[in-house]
Amino acid sequence: MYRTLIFAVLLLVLGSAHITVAQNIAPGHAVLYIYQKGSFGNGQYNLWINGKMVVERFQARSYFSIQVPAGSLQLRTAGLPKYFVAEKNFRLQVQAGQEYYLEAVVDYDFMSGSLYLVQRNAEDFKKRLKGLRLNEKAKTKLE
Amino acid sequence: MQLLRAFLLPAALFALTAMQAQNLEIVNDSVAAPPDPDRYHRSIYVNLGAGPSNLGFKTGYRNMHQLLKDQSVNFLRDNSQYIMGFGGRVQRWYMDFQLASSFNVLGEYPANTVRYLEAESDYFNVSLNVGYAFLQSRNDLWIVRGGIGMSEYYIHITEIAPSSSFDFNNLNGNPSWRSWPAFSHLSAVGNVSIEWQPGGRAKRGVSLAPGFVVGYQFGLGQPSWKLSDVPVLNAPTDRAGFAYFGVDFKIGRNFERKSKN
Repeated sequence: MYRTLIFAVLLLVLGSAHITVAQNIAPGHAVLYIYQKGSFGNGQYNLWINGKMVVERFQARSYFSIQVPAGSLQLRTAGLPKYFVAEKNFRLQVQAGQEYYLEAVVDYDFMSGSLYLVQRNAEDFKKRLKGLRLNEKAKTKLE
Repeated sequence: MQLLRAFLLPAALFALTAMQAQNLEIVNDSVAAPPDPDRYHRSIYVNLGAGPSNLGFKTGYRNMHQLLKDQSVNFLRDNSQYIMGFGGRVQRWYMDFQLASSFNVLGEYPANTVRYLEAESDYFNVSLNVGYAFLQSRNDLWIVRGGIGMSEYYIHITEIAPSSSFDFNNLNGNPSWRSWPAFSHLSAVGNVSIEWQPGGRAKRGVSLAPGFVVGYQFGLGQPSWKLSDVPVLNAPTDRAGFAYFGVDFKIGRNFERKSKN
């Protein structure tokens, strides 16, 4: 009885982890998977897409996915303390129905820090996924 | 060979994933991608820091301190010591030459109503260390160091007179403050330390890097205390020793890896 219960729970947990990766994409939208590995110097970094904040305090060893309208995206990262964090801007061209994987890389140096975005592929993301937790506070869809 | 293969495969995979990145465009920024810590593989630097006697726990010089205690000489303090040095790096290997000296801040003896003796120390040290970065990631760096050097530890004793008014127009007529010649202890020392550098390896041509050090400096042998010019009787022997925390600041010039073509 208990064994089946535990087995069912395990299946559910493993299954749900899989579901978050393969989600339905709304028409005219693309999906971004944005993730961050662990590193020293994780300050308070925020990320904006097309001027809207999508994640606040983006932490190490976490990820989130967001549906974004196809076309040209403006991505901006900044953070606190304001005088030590350099803002970074990126532009990404996305096509409807496609998935994109961006690794957020914290770069810390003396009296300066930045959150960079680097485009990766699905394999890299899936390989890292085990050590990442889902950031539930992040936005999931951008109109 | 197998070890080489174990490194080559992930490297090849990494190269493939790097090639895959194509249409993420960088806007309004001269720095295109995150700075590559592997870009600079050699460095030269100067460093400034706080030395062993500054934030230290003295483990050596026990006999001299016992001698002072036995003769009721009040040991006031170790003067703060600062380090200047220069060094270089080739990939994970470091070589540092360091010169440390204490700054003797004169005076500041507490006012007192009784006559007593007070000692303070000065510390001078030269050392050559070899280091190896045993752990390095994008944003931090750990270096283990070992080396040898010479250190000289001085103790001065001053007699403190009871406080009364001091007349500048009659320097000889004021209550006398006696002073003894400095005792010196010259010893060969070994040094082991671990340094943590937040910020990691140099990512720019000219880099600034703070470092935090935990170390132990120990005497090699047990030389006796000396007075310059004077033959001495009953001089104690002592082993040098400091366990310490250090703060260190490096200003470096870094050189890029030469391309193979």
